[in-house]
Amino acid sequence: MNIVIYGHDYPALVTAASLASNGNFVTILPLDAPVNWTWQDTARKQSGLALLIEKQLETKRLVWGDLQSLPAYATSHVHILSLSAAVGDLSDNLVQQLSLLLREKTLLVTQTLHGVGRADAYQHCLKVAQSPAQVVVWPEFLSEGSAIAQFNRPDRIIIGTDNDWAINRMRDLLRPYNRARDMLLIMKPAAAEMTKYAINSLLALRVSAMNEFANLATSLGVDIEQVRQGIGTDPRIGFNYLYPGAGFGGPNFMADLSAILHTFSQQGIEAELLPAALRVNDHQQEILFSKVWQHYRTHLTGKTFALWGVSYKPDTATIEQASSLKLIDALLAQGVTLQVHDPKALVALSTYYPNHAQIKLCTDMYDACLGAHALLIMTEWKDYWSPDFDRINANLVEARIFDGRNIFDPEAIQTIGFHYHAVGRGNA
Amino acid sequence: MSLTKTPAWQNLAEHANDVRQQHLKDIFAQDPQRGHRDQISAAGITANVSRQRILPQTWQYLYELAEQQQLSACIEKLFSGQPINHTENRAALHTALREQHDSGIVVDGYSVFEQVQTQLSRMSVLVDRIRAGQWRGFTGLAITDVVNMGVGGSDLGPHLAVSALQPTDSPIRVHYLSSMDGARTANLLASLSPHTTLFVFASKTFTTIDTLANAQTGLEWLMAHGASRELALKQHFIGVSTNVQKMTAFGIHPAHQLYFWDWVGGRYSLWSTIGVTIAIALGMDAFRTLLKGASDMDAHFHQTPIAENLPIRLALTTIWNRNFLGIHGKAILPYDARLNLLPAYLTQLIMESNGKSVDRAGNSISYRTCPIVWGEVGPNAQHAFYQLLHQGTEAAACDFIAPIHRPDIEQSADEATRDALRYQHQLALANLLAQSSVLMLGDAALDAPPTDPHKHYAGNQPSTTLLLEQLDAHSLGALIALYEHQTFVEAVIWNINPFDQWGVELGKQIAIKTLTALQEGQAESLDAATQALIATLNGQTL
Repeated sequence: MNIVIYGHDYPALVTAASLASNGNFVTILPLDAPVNWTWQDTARKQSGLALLIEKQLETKRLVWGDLQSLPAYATSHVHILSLSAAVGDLSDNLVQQLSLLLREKTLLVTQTLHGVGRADAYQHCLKVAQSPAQVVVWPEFLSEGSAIAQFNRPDRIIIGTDNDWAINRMRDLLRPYNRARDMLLIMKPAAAEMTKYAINSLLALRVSAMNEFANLATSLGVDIEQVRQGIGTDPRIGFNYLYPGAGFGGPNFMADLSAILHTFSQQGIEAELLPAALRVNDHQQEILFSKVWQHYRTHLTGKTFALWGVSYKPDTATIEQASSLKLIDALLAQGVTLQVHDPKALVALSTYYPNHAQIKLCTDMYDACLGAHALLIMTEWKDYWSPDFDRINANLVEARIFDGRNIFDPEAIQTIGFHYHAVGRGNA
Repeated sequence: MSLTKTPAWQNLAEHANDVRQQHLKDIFAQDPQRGHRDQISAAGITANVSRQRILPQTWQYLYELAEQQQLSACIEKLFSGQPINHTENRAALHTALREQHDSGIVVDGYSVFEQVQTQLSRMSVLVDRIRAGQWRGFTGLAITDVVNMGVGGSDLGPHLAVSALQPTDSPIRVHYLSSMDGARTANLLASLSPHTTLFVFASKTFTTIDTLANAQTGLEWLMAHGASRELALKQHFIGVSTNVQKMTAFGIHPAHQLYFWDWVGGRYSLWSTIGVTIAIALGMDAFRTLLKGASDMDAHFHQTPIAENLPIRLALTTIWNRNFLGIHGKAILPYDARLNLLPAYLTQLIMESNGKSVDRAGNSISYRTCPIVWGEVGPNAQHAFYQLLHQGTEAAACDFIAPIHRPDIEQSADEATRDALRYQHQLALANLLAQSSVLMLGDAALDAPPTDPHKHYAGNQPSTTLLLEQLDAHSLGALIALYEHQTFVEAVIWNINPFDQWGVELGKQIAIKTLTALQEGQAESLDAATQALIATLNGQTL
C-alpha cells in the first residue's frame, strides 16, 4: 500500500518504519517537528529505531515528504495522522487541506488523539468538502522505549469506524501484526478515542492511589513493598502498575489526561477522580523534596546533592513534564546545587536550564556524587540498580540516599552503612 | 480668630441663606449647562458634582475659603514630608510610598524613596517566591493559603484591594483575620491545612492585641499539627511592622520581616509593605499598578489649580453640605459588588481622620467636622436604607460610584452569559442614574406629582457621581487616593489634624485593667454597669 504518515515523534517514526519494513511504500511528513529537528533526535530516544529507519530509507520504501507536495500524495490509500497530542490546530488545518484532495477508497487514520469526538469532526469536515474518504481511529499504545516491540506484537488493536470497507482495509494493512490470534476490536470512532483515554486515566488513578498509600505507610512505619505484594495477589487487582514512587509524567501521557478532562468539561460534567489523582501526583512529584526538606530541617541553602535520572522514565531522553523538573525547581529555589547524571537526558536538561550556575551535568554517575551531601534518585535506569556502593559512599559527604523509585532493598543498603529514604519504605 | 468668624466663612454663611431656599430641580431648570460644566476628570476618574446644591457663586466663595485656610501651602507641606501630624511630631508621607520617581524627600537623614524601594524589592522577593509555589511549609509542601492577620488599616486596605480586583487565576487563596474574639479564627483554621498556610502578621506597632492574639492562636495551631516552634515561625509567618525589635522578639525570621515607617498612618498603609497580601493575591505588577494609579491622583492633586482639582472640589462639597446646609450624613454607594468593602474602608479613612473636635492648637471648635459616613453596594442599599434617603427626615449627601466599562464580562466563556452580564451592567447603571435623579428632583421626576402624601418625594438631596473608566488596579489606586486627599483638604479647612487618632487609645488602656478584673472576678474599681456585666459573664448571681 501507499501510505503517508504525518508526525515527527516516535509513534510516527516507529509506525512508518515498521509499515515500510513489511513492504508498504511510506512517505513521512514531520510537520510538528521543532526547528532544527533531525530524525536522529527522535530515533535516539528509542533503541533500535535508528537502524530500522536507515534500513527502510535504503530500500527507498521510506521517504521524506513535504507539505508543498501534498497534492501529489493524495492518491495514496492511507493517510495516518500521528501529530503530537499538543498540536490540535495543526492537525485541524491539515485535515482541512486533505479534505479537498482525498479521493475514493482512501483512509484518514488518526493515530494520536486530540480529544473524544475529534474523529467525528474530521469525518464531518470531509463530508462538507464532498470528499469520499473515511476517517478511522487507530489509537496507538506505544510506550516510549519499547515502542517497536509493542507495534509488532500489540496487546490489542482498536479500530474505530462504522464503515465495513474501512474495517477490511485496516485489517489488511495490519495483517502482519495480527497473526497469532485476532487482536482487532472494532468500535465506533468516539468509543475508540474514549477507550484510549480511559486506559490512561485508570493507570493514573492506580498509581496515585498507591502513592497515597505509600505516604500513609511512611507515617505508620509500614513497608509499602509488603503491602504491594499482598495487594497484587488479589486477582481482581493484579500486580501491574502498583509501584509507588515520585509521581508520573511525560508529555504524551499528561496531554492525554488533559484531553479527557477537556472532554469532560465540554460535556458539562465535572470529573472528580482524575483531578484528585493529578493533585496527588502534583505532591508526589515533589516527594523527595519534602523528605530532604524535613530531614535537613529546611536548611538547604548552600547544600549540594547528586541527582541520578531526570528523564520521565528509563530508556528515553525526554524530560518534558518529568517529575524530576518539579524536584529540581524546588531545590534550586532553596539555593541547592545539583550534580546531575542521566544516561540520555543531559542534553535536554542543559537546554531546559541553559548555563544554570546551580546545575552541574555529570557524564559519570559516580562523579555526580563527589562532595554531595546525599544522592537523590528520580528515574529507575538499569544502570542504577546495582551500583558500586563503596564508590558512592567514598564520594558522598554522608552515606545517604533519597530514592524516588524504590530500586534498593532497605535492609541490604542499611546493612552496608547507608541511610536510605524511599517512597513508603526505608528511614522515615 | 475662630474659623466661623473669618470673612470667607461669613460670606458662605450669608450666601447659604439664599441657596437653602432653592430646590435642585429649579437650580437645574435655570442653569441646565451645569450638568456638563460641573464634571471634571483626573487619573481615569470622572466626577459629576452638578447635583450638589452649589451655584457658580458658591464655588467662588468656597475657593476663597480654601485660599484663606492656606490650602496650597498645606498641600506643599504634606508632599514635602513636613511633620504635619504635629501631635505625634510626624510627617504623613503616604504619597511618598507611591512615588514613581525620587522627589528628594529626606526623613531622619534617610532618603524616603530609597527606603521605600528597598522594602518593595524585599517584598517582591517574598511575593514572587510564594506565587511561584516555592515558599514551603514545614513539611515541604508549597504554600497555597495566606491569612492576613491585621486590624484596622492592616486589614481593610488589603481586604478591599483583593476583593475589588478579584483575582480569578491567583495561585494563592487569601483569607483575613482581624477581630480579637477568635470566633472566626476557629472556623477559618478548620478549613485550612497547617502544611500549606502562611500567616501575614501585619501590625504597625506589633503590639496590637487583636492581631497578637490571632497570631498566637495560629502558632499554637501549627505546633499542634506537628510543626516545631522554630519551623512554624520560620516557614509560616511574615511580619510587617515599623517595630523590628518586636518582630524579632515574636520570632519572625529576619528575612521575612517587612518594614514600614512611623510616618505611614495605619489607614494609609496599604501602599506600604502592609500591601504584601495584595501583592500575594494579585502579583507584584498589579500592586505596582495600584501605586501608579494613586501616584497619578497625587500628581493631579499636587499640581492642578483649585477649580479643576478633583479632590479639592469634592472636599469643598463636604464643607458646604456639612457646615452650611447642615447635612449630617454621607453615604458611599458603589454600583459594583466588587466594591462592597469600599464603604467600610472609607468609613475608617474619613471618620478616623476627621472625627475630631479640637483644632490644631487644641482649642474646642464651634463648627461641625466629619459627617457620619456609611454605605453599602448601591443596588443592595436600594432595598435597605434608600427609604430614609428618599423620605426620611435626615438629609444625606451621596457618592454614587460605578465603572463605565466591564472588560471582565468579556472573560466569560459563552456569548449568552456575556450578553446577560452586559444587560446586568446596563441595568445597574440605569438604577444609579435613576436614583440620583430622583434624589435630586423628587416628585418632579414624574409627569404628574402624586396626590397621596405617603408617595411624596421631596427631592433636593445632593449627590456626586464618580465614574471609573473600568475597575482595575490603576483606577482603584486613584479612587482611594482621591478620598485620602479629599479627607485631607476637609481637615485643612476645618483646621484639624487628620493624621492622629487619640480617640481610640483610652478604650484599649481600660481593656487591660478590665481583662484582669474579668479573669480574677474583682471588679470593685470599675463602674457599676461593668461590675454587673462581669458578674453575669462569670456566672455569678447578683
